[in-house]
Amino acid sequence: MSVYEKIGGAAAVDAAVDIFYRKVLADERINEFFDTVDMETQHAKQKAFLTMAFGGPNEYTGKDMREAHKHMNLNEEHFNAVAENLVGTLKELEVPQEYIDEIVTIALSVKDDVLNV
Amino acid sequence: MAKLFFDGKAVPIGPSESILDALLRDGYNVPYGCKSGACQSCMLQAQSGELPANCQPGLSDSLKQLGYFLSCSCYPKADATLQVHSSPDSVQKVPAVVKEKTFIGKNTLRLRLRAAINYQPGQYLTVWKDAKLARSYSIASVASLQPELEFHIKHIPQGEFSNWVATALQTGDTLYLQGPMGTCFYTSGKPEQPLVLAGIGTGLAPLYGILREALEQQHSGEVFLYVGAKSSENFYYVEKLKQLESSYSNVQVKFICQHTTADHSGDYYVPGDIYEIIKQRHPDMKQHKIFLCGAESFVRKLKKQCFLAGANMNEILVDTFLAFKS
Repeated sequence: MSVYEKIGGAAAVDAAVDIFYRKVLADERINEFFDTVDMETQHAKQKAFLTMAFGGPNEYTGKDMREAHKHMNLNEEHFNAVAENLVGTLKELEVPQEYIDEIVTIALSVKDDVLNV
Repeated sequence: MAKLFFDGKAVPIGPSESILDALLRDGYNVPYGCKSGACQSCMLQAQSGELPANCQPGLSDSLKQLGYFLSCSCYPKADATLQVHSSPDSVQKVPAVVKEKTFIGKNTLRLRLRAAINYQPGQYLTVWKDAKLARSYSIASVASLQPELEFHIKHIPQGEFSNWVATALQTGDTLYLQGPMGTCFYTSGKPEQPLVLAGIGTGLAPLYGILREALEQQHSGEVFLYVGAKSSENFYYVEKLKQLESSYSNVQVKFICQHTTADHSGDYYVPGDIYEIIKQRHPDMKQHKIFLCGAESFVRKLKKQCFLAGANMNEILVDTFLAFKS
């Protein structure tokens, strides 16, 4: 069973997305990347991201990840800020630590692609 | 076997097959992403038929009421007949007869039309003058309270459509309507939820419809209406709203005038910044349902503010007025 299924699948993503999006919008280190014109589209992107990070069904490839983040000039600090907000969201939802660890591992697996290194 | 129709054409569907899979198998080019009810890219709208449980995860109450569902998660019941459309907005034009045209404010026209259209107050319709000229306006009326559709139109002297309405349109003339569209309307089911309605200018039109619909449906939670204007001469329906406020103990209306420095004690409106006033009065919006109507910059800024104040994304409904670009 994937961690996505263990924490409740699509319902877990629904529970997490508002909390996560609110956190990144309020985070001065990274909110410029998330504060876009269309909140609905951005919200949908966060859902897709969380689905991926939770190990759920997604069709991202490493190439997609590189393309999507290429022009953003992201650095380690940006990546860590997103990861912190992700962990903070999961803690707020009282997700058990072992599952949080699994999710962090998934997030770390795309780090090089996101940072284009 | 369930019967499925897509844009009017029958599509065979297996007993344990989702609507998305049936459509893809039959050669339709339906957008989709995660196929697990998360990304919402496969959303379709049912025009008729009973939807099974669990096919609307994460959708707002208004989308649910309009029959939207996620086709990847929709496994119709064996005895169901479902009519599903690829383009959810109805495209047919319906004739409408002008019943009344009145100035209700310095620059605001009220247009009342008679037409055979089912709608929710707060949705919008596209109003066609002829085959070429059209604008969209939000619906201020409640069908159970008055037979005519009501629109509030800001008169822009150099505006092609609104100036035609103001100067040439006559009672008895026929216009054509398309729609309704939009998801910014009241849904029953949470009568105790606090509601915050905020709009600038003729953003009051959909809010007025939503407010009266909520009261018709006996909404018992508190309802806060904030009407903003750049100048006090742009306010309208002041008496009507004051009357609602005194008839219903759960309704509070505030008129906020943005550009004013004079002393306004004793006036019906307060000077100030609508964003600040809402922020101070509603620091925590976790439980609230929020309706925001008006210009794009206003809606965008206040939506973000309400979301950061804890409002659930699905509980913030907006009607954005887009300026016509030629």
